[in-house]
Amino acid sequence: MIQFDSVSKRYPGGFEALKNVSFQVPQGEMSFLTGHSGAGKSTLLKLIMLMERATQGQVICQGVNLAKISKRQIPYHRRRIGVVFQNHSLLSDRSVFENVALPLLVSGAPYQETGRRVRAALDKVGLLNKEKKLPVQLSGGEQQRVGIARAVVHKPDLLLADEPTGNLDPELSADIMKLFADFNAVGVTMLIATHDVDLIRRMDRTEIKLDSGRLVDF
Amino acid sequence: MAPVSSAGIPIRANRSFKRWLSDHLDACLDSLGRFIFSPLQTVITLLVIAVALCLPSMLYMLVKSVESGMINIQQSADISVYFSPSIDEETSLQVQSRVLALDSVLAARYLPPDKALQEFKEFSGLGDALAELSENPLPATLLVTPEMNRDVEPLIEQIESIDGVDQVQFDYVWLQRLRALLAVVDQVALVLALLLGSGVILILGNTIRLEIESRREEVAVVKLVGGTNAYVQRPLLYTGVWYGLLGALIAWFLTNLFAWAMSAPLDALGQLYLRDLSLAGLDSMDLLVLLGLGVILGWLGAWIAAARHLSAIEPA
Repeated sequence: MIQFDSVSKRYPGGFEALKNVSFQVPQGEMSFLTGHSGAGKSTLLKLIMLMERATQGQVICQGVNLAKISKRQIPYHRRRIGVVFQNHSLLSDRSVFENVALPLLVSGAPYQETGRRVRAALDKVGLLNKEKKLPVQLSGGEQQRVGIARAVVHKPDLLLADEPTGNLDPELSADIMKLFADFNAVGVTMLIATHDVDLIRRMDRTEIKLDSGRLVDF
Repeated sequence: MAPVSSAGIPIRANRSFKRWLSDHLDACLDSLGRFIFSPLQTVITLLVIAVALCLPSMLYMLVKSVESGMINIQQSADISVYFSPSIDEETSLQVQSRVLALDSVLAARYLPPDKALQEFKEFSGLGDALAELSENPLPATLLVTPEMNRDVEPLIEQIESIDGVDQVQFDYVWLQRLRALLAVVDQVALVLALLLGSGVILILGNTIRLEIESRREEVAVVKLVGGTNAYVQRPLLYTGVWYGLLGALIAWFLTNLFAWAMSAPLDALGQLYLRDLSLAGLDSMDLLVLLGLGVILGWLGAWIAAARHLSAIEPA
């Protein structure tokens, strides 16, 4: 599903965020991306989302060599991936429903389907009764679950998460991870960046460990 | 199916026309609805645009009015032919028929001295002073109406060469001056329109830049969930179009208000000069042109701002 072949990323100014990284995440797998902050986790996810381009090596995602995707095609590439952010990136002036519907709205999904899918996604994260609320009216854990609903509403077969539990207490973190495991159980491939080591040990999943841009454990 | 590139990614959205229309309608109404979030800012921007569009349209209106008035002026721009005092009426009438026989003469009206004096009294406002005169100082006059838009100088020479004609007078120079002046005003209006049009683009560019700035987070999120640049730009372009359209509408209103406000003083002025002076307000065709210009300028300003500032927002 995701394959990195000797990938390096050097930012303008010379900072090398990734150095010769190779690994793969097979279809249907749930993998964790670990390492201290600044190790290159975010950069690696950005390469998959085409927010950045690799300076060397190649990234293959869902069978497509990302170097071959033109700037104009990037939105269509992103529509095949779901992303969960640490700060959940919800739009504060829109309701929970509208936030979750955003990926469907931008891709021009039929309206009838939109309502059904949004409610299905909210139901999965247990927030069906909060669809009319604004994000600020929800707790931190609930906001993160709205972010997750938004990431899965368009049924991507790949889900990326960047420190999804970074701001949550252990109990809420476990809930979120349970949710991810549920998605994985129905076939969604997952790559989750986190530094929550305890959590990973309990989950017993593949770990991709970065240190200063180098792959140290895979 | 949407066309698919070699990389297996669709190149463009697979939308029905109906959906495309509804997406545009959404963006269009949404951007209009956003105006109520910052009413003061919106009104100020609209007024700035309206004033910028107003100045050239007022000048245009002025030129248009004077030009339509010029036709009347030219019609009444008769050539005055004064006879030598020694000439009797019979000879004068012979001269009249000779003048009438000339090419490019539409009419020639004979005014005996007493009639000439009477007209002069009426038009000059010097009636009382003239009444003091013991003797009529005016010679018999022939008022020759030349054909319009013909070069009158050869005609004047021809008339001058006729026996018994003392002097030929034609207020030709001031007409030429007026024409030249109008050409200058026309040019000024054009230059002003260009300058203020660019001003409108800059104002809107800046307004849209601020709008993008305030929606930075939203733009980033929309891009991350797969929104195309077209999707992100659409409401901004509509915002620009709305600004241009509403600004042009206000400018049209202000210009006609100006025409209305000027009608009373112009009437008074016109009465003094015995002319019917009025400003022709902007008609529906002018309104269409003005609105069209507003829309184009608004769209252009928004497009430039969007092209410049949207790409600066992560992710690309």
